[in-house]
Amino acid sequence: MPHVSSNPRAVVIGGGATGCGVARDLILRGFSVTLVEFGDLGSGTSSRFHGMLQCGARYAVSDTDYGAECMRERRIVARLAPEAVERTGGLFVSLPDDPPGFGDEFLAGCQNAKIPIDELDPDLVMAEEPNISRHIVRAFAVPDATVHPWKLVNLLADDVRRRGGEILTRHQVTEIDVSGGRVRSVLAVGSGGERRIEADVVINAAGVWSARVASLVGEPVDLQLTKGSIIVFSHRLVARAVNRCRPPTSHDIIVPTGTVSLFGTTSEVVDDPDTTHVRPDEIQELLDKAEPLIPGIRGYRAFRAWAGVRPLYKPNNWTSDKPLPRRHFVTDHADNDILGFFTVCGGSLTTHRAMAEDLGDHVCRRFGINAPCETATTPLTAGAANSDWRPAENFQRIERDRAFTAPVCECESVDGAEVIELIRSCGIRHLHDLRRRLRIGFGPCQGTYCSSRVASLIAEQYPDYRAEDDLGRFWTERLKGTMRTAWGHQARQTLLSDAIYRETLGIRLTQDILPAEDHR
Amino acid sequence: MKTDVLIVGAELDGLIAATRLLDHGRSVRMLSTGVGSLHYAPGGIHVLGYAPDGNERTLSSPFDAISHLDEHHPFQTIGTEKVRTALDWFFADAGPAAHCFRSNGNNALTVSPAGLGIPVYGVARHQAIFECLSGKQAAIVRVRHHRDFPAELLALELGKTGVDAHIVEIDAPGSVVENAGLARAFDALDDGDGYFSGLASQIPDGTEVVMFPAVLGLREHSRVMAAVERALGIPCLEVPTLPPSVPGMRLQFAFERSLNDRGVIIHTGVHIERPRIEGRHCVSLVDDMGRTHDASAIIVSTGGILMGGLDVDSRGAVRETVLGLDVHQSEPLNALSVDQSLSALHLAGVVTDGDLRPASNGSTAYENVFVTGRTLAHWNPAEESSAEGVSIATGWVAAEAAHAHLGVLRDG
Repeated sequence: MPHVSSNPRAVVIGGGATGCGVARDLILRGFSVTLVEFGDLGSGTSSRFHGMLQCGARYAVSDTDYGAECMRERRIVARLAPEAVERTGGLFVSLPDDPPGFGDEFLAGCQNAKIPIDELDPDLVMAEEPNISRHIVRAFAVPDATVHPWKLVNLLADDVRRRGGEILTRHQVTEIDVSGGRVRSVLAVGSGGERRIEADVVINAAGVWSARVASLVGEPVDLQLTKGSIIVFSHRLVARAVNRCRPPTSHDIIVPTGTVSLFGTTSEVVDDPDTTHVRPDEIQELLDKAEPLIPGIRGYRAFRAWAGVRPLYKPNNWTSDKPLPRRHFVTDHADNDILGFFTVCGGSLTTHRAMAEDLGDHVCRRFGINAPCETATTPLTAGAANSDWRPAENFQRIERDRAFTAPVCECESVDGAEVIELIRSCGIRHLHDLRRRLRIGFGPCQGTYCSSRVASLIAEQYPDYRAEDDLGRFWTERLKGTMRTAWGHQARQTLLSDAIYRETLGIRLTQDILPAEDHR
Repeated sequence: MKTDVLIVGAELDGLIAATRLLDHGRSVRMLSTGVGSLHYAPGGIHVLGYAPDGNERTLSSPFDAISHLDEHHPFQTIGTEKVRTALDWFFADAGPAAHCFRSNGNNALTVSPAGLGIPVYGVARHQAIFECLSGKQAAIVRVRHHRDFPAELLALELGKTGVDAHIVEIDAPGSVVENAGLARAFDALDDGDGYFSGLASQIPDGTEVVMFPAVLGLREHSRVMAAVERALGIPCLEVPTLPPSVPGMRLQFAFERSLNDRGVIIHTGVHIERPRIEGRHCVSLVDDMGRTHDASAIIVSTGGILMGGLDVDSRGAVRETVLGLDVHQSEPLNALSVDQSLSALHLAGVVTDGDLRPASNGSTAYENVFVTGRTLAHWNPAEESSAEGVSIATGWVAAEAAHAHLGVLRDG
């Protein structure tokens, strides 16, 4: 058994749900943890999906074990992070074109996976969901939920910080030092300089970028990357997440989340993990395929479109034409003489905790550490009572000397005190990073009105704030998504936004985009 | 009741055309669905601020570059001479609405709310331009709770250009703190001198110029400015806010007032449902209440995509909404890259002849229809900084052309 100190040091590479989950898992097992993320937390695949906290029904027929795992994890996540989860419930509806026998298969699959399922009267469902097809032939209710990914990821990261872990965002790992057959340290490079971090264990949790990370030590990772594009519509067009009841395929789901609905998703194999642009033909494809489920969809206002890349594990002996397994995998690279280097990949945001548990078990087994996983039972905000994490009190204090009579962002109802609190407590100085935490820029105006107000609040705190660049990047990035859906009122909005940025504020469009800003 | 010229839309181009047609003794009627895009305009007369070479080079004079614009650009379509004549008319003879603007024939750099410079050809009397600030000790006044004026951002960015700006906060003159409400509260201020003298004590010694959010009065702007300069004893300037933008509204209301004085009322809330066409003439427009508006000539100043004069569908096809005129678009908007499609969204519109008559397949679609402003193709106000210039020039040309057309009718 290789020797490791009583307080082993772990570096986790990747700040998505997986990486943050792994960091929390390891810190609860007694590791000292540093997490390195090259962009902002949760800015990769963790936030570039349809926002479902899956109950597993979607996979109950094709991959029953994975469906069952989703159900177990969906319960745990909803219990640990209720503020990040909305228990919308899910519907699976059969349209006349869907395979007629699939309903019974689906019902049986869910029962096998122990997913609670009820068959509903189609007339009742059509009455409750006035925007969906009037031709529903069968309908099932399942306990799907939606998740606010950045809230979840930041809850995990906050817990890690409170327990003494370190989170380094906007740092890229450029070197993993291996000598004598085991990892020694990583080199993290950020805008402020580089840091060498000693490590006994290095976890590659970089999702779609994990092959890139593993290549630093000359290891392969067997992934298949598929891009999925999604259109965001104004309003919650449905009360529950509505799926087509048919074998899982593309464009068959609409999810209500926040103030919007997401329709998705396309699926297309890509080589480059940074392929997040949406092509015009994908928009037309999505609209055409959405029409049977949501009649008249082209008449609704869409805010933007964006794409994410899924990292699916492709076992190297996989020859079948069947869809790739959704389940995650853990690789212990000690088998290839790199002791202390592990890769965890595949899976989903819903199962991020189980992925971290499995990874933690592998690490402890390798080093003979006897420390059981505690993430399912330790409350996520357990440490909060003893820290200075008291947002309500902080808001009160801010509002004592600075009252905001109107929200800073009227689209998403964001108050100025919330913005100031985040700028002060987290040292945030990019509009994008505030957007992910507060939802500014998510509504109909896509941040046109609030961005300069918020920039002014950042300017108040940081005399070295580069406002012109930040606003230029913000508008350029918002434009990328909103331009794809610029029809009807959103076309007018896009021109109004362009007029406000360029003709009123004097902000120009830019090609200079920070890592992980180019997305939803 | 038949009118000489029916103007659809309440854009600056429509207001200009109406004013000019009244000068020619024509009867005018104005219909509009809403209030027009001047409510978004930051103030000032932007004619052509950036060189058309795509390098965002600031032009010292618009007239240096008009001939380098795309050959289909509205300025090129009507010709540089007419642009110059229309602008000269605007600054000298367009009536009280235009009196507060000055131009020395070159572009000045106005101060944006983000502290950045935007080239402008005609500057309003109290509009902040960089020339008035350089090397000076400045104060920025923020109205407490007013969120549409990013004072810290302005101070920070001005600081980078060497302008030292100190922020001072005052209470709103009334209970409302949004732009138009603030402006009206300043209009209604009984004791302006008393209010502003309270501010004087807060301005640091040595301050040479004071910047305010552009909310100092809507209809009583000159009186409010006089009161504040009297109280502070130093030059006071305005910096635009986020929309709704009071400087643009002042221009709108001033034109509306002078049109009202001459008997023209803008009927808002009117949605045109269909035209009545006879041969190559549009003889009337029918609104959604079934009313028929007869006219000898029609000016379409409907504000393009921004204001609903053009509509884009989910497949990226652009349609003209009043007469169903042919629309130029390079390709369906959805077939292009993001950068190209933003530009295509701006550039889509109606193509015309030199008198602004809409074209269809290379020939004139209607003899008595004239199209102006944002509904025209081949110009990009955000890229060029040219919104008011194109409106004034095309509004003026449409009025001249409609007047000439009516003369032909009468003579014929």
